[in-house]
Amino acid sequence: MATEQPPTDTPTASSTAPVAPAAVPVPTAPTDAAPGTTSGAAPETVDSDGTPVALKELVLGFESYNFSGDDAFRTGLPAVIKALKGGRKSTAADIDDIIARAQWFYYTRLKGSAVPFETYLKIRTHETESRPMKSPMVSTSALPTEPEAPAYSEGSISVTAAPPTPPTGHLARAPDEMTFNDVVRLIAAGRAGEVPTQDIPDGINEAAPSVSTMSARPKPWESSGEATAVDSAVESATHDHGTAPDGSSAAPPAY
Amino acid sequence: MAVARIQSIANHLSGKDNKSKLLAKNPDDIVVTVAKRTPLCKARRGAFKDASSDELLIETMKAARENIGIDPALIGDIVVGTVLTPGAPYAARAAALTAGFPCAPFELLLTLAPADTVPVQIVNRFCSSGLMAIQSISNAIRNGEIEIGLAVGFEDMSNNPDDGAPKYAAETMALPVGRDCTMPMGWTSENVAGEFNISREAMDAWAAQSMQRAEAAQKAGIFEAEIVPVTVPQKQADGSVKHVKVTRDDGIRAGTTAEGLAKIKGAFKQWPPTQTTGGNASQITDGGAFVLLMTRRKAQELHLPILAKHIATVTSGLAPRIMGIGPSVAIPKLLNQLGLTTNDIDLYEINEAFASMMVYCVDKLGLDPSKVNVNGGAIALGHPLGCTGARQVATVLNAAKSRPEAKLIVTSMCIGLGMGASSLFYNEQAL
Amino acid sequence: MLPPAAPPVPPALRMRTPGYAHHSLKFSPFFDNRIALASGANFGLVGNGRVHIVNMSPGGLVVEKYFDTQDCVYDIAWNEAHENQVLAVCGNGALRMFDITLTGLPVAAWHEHTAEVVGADWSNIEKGLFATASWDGSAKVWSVDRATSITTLPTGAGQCYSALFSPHTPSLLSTAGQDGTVRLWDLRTTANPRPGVAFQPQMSFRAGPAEILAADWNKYHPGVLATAGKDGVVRVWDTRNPSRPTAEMQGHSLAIRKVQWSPHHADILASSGYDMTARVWVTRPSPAQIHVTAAHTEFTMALGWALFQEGLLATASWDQELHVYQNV
Repeated sequence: MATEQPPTDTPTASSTAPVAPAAVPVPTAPTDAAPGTTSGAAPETVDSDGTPVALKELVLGFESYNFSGDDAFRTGLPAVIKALKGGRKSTAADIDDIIARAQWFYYTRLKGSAVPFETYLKIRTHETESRPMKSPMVSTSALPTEPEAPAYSEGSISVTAAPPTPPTGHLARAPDEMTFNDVVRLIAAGRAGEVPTQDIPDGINEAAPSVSTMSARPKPWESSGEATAVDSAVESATHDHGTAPDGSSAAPPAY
Repeated sequence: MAVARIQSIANHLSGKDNKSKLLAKNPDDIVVTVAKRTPLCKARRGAFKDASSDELLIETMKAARENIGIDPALIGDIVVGTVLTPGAPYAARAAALTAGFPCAPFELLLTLAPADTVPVQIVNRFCSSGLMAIQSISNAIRNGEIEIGLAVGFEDMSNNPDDGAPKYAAETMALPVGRDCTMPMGWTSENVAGEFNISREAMDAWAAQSMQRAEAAQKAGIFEAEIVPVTVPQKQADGSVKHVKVTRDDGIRAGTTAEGLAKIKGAFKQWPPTQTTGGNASQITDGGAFVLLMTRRKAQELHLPILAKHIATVTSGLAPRIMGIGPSVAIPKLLNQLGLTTNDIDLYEINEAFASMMVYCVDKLGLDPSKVNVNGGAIALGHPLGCTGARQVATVLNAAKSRPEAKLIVTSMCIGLGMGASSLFYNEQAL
Repeated sequence: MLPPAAPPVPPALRMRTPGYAHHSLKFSPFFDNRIALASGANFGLVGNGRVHIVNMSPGGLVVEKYFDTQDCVYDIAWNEAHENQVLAVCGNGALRMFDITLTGLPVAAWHEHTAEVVGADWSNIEKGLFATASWDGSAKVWSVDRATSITTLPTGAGQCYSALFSPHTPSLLSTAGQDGTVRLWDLRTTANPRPGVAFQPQMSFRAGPAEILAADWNKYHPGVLATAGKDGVVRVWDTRNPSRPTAEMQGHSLAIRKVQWSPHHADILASSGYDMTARVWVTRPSPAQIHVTAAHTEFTMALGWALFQEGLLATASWDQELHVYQNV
C-alpha cells in the first residue's frame, strides 16, 4: 500500500462532496408517481411541453456543467465505473452509460434533487408525459434564488422549515477537509500522522459534574401503569419532565 | 489502526453484490431435495462383483424411485451419467422402466388416454458424467422445460472395465495432442507429478488423509445418512447365489498411514517419476448415486426439504496430457464468472482421481485442506466413473448438514482427455 | 419479499456538521428532543472524534454542544440514570463520559480495550451498567461507579461489533461480530469465573453467512433478536430456537451497519448501511419493506428511532448529515 494511487481494492466512499456512491448501482430513484403522496408542494410552473420549468433548468444545468473541471467528481469516477461494471466486460456504450449515470447522480445530489436518470432520458428523447413531472425535492416555489442551496421538502412538517444551512450547501467543507481518496492515500503512504489532529488531553473535567434530578422515564414498551406513576412524580419536580436545559420544550412537538 | 479501518470497510464492501445475489432465495431457483448414493464397492472384489451391470443399475434406479419422496410420475426427465456401460441408452431406459418409473397407473394404460412415461437419456463426459447429468436436468428446469428432474450417476467397473481409448483417425494420430488422447490416465498422473514437482511424500500424505477421514466418517456412522442400501446377488462359497443387502462402502482401508503407503511400489515404472501407486490413486469401484432437482417453488408446494440450491456448473478444456489439473482451471472459471473468490467457498469436494492432481490443485488454488473432501475422497471411497459427479453432491451435502456455517460449496473433477468441471451449490440445510 | 411499498421518503429535517462524519446516533432517554451523534473527522479513519449534542425542534436541527476526543467516536450511549451524561467510545480504545452541562473534558474516563471500540449499550434494566464491544475481540461490562470493567467476555468473534443488554432479562447480554455468530452470556455466571474455567456463552448460534455488524433486541418480544451485516440481509431470530431465522429481509444492496427495532411497534424495525439507504421493515405476518430513504450521499452508518415520538427515525452518515424522518 505504498503507492501514490489509492489502493484499487479500497472502497471509495467518494469525496466529501456527494459523488456517485462507489459500490452502489445508481439507485432506482423515486418514480414519477412518487411526489404527490408526500409533498404539499405548491403548483409548479410547467413549460409548453408539460415539463416543469424547474426540471428543465436542472437538465440544462446538468448538460452545461463542467464535470471535467470538478476535481471531486473526477477523482471519484474511476471507482464508480469499476463498481458499476462489477467485473463484467463492458462495451464502449456501457461505459458511456455508466458515466452518464454517474454524472447525473452527482449533479442531482449537488442540486439537492432526487430526479432519476430515467426521467432525464425521457426528457431527452422527447417522450410526452401525460402529466407534469413532480419531484418532492425540487419545487419551483421553494427554489431559493441561490442555486446551490439544498431544497427541503415542504408539507411534511406543519411548521415552515428553517432556512437552509449556509448557501454553500452540500459543498461546504471545513478549510482543511480532505476527500476520502486524500485520506486513504495518506494512510496508504504511511503518512497518517500528517493529518491535522488536535491533541485532546487525557484528563477529567475540573468543573463539578451536574447532579441528576430526573427520574428515569419509562420506555414505550414498559408497562403503562409504571408510566403514570412516574409522570405524576415528575410533575412535582423542579424541572419540567423532559425539558432540555436551555428551556426549549420537548413536549409533543407540532410534527 | 487507520489501515485496519480501511481494510474493514473494504472487507464489508467486497464481494457483497455477488454473494448476496447468490444467497438470495427465489422461487425459480433450482434446488436439490434429495442426494443419495448406493454403497461404493471395490470392482471385481467387492460386494457388487457378482451383480451384473443391469442388475446394479436397476437397483440404483429402484433406490432412486423409493427415496426421492415424490410420485415418480412427476419427474419430467431422467438423465443417467455413465461412461463404460455398453449400450448405455438401452440399459438406462430399460432399467428405469424395470425399476418402476414411470408408474403411470395401470388403469390409465387400459384407457385410450396416452400414458406419459418418464423419459430417460444418458450423458457421458467421462468422469464428470454424474455432474453433467445434474447440469443437464438443472438447465432443463431453468429453461422451464421440466419442473422436476432426476440426475443419476452410475458405473459398474467390475463388469465394464475401462479398456482405454479406441483407435483414432490417422489425422488425429499425426498430432501430439491426438496421441496424448491414447494414453492411460496413470500416465497423466505421472505427468502432473513430474511437471509440477509434486513429491511422493505429499501424494501419500494426501492419500492417507483421505483414507483416515473416510474411516472416521464411516465409523461415526456419517455415511449412513447418504447411503441407500441395495440388494444384489452374491456368489457364496458353495456356489449358490444369495441376494444380500449391501449397506456400507468396502473400499475404505482402516489404519492407513502415509508411512504405510510409502512402502507401495510405483505402478507405472515406464513413466517417471513413477510416484502413482494403488494406494494414492482412486480405486476402481462400482456404485450409483442420484440427485433430485426441482424449482424452489415446486419444492415448497410439495413441502419437500431443500438441501441446497444449484447455482451453476461450468466445464473447461485443457491439455490432455495433464488432465488432472482440471479442477485448478474449472474452479477459477466458475468463481470468476460468479464474482467470487476461493475464500468465499466453505467446502470443496474435488475428485481424487490421483493424489498427484489433488496436491497440485489444492496448492495451486491456495485451498485450506481442512475444507476439502472433509469425509474423504475417491482414494478412500472409490471412483465409479459416471457415478462420481452425483456421488460427490450426496457426500458433500451430507457433510454440510452438520456444518451450519458452510454455505457455499464447490464440487469439481478432472476429466479424461483434458477437461475439468466444477459446480457451485448453496447449502440451505442449516438455516 | 414484497416490492417496496413506497418511493423514498425525504427527510423532514436535515443538518450538516462540516468536517465530521457520523457513525452512530442515539436519542436521549430523558429528553424528547435531544440526540447524541458519534462522529469523527476524516471519515473516522484518522484524526479526532466528536460527540455532537443536537437539539431537534420543528424549526430544525441544531448542534447545542460538542465534545472532542482524541480519536473517532464510533458509538455513544446515554446514561439511563443521569439525564446529563453520555458515554462516547472511541477508536483508540478510550471510553469518555461527558456531562452535557459542561464543556471540554469528560467527567469520567476508562481505557481497557486494546483496539477500536465500536459498540456501546446502556442497560435499561440495571441502569448503572453499560457494555462495550471492541475489535480487540472482547465485550466488556462496566459500572459507572467502577474504574475498571466488571467483566471481560472473550467473544471469540474476531472483531466484536455489538454487545447488547437484553431489554427483558437482567444479566443477559448478546454479542456478535466478525465470525457471524451470536453469543448469549449470562453475566451472573461470568461475573465470578472459577479459576481455570474459561468464560462460556450460555448459547451461541450462527446468524448468517457473513460478518454481523449490527444487532438489536426486540423491545416487545422477549428473546427476539435482529442481526444484520456484511451480506446485507436483516434476520430476525427467536433465541429460544435459533436454528433458523423467523424472518429474513433483503433489500439493501450492500452491507448493513445498523439495525434497530421500533420502540413503539413490536414488529417494525429499521436498518441502514453502505448502500446509503435506510429502510423500515415490518416483520409479521410476513416480512416486507415499508419505507426506504435515499437522501444520504455516503454510507449511512447511523440510525435511531426517537424514543418518545412514534414513527420518527433519524439517520446520520459519512456525508456529515443528520436526517430526521417522520411517519415511517
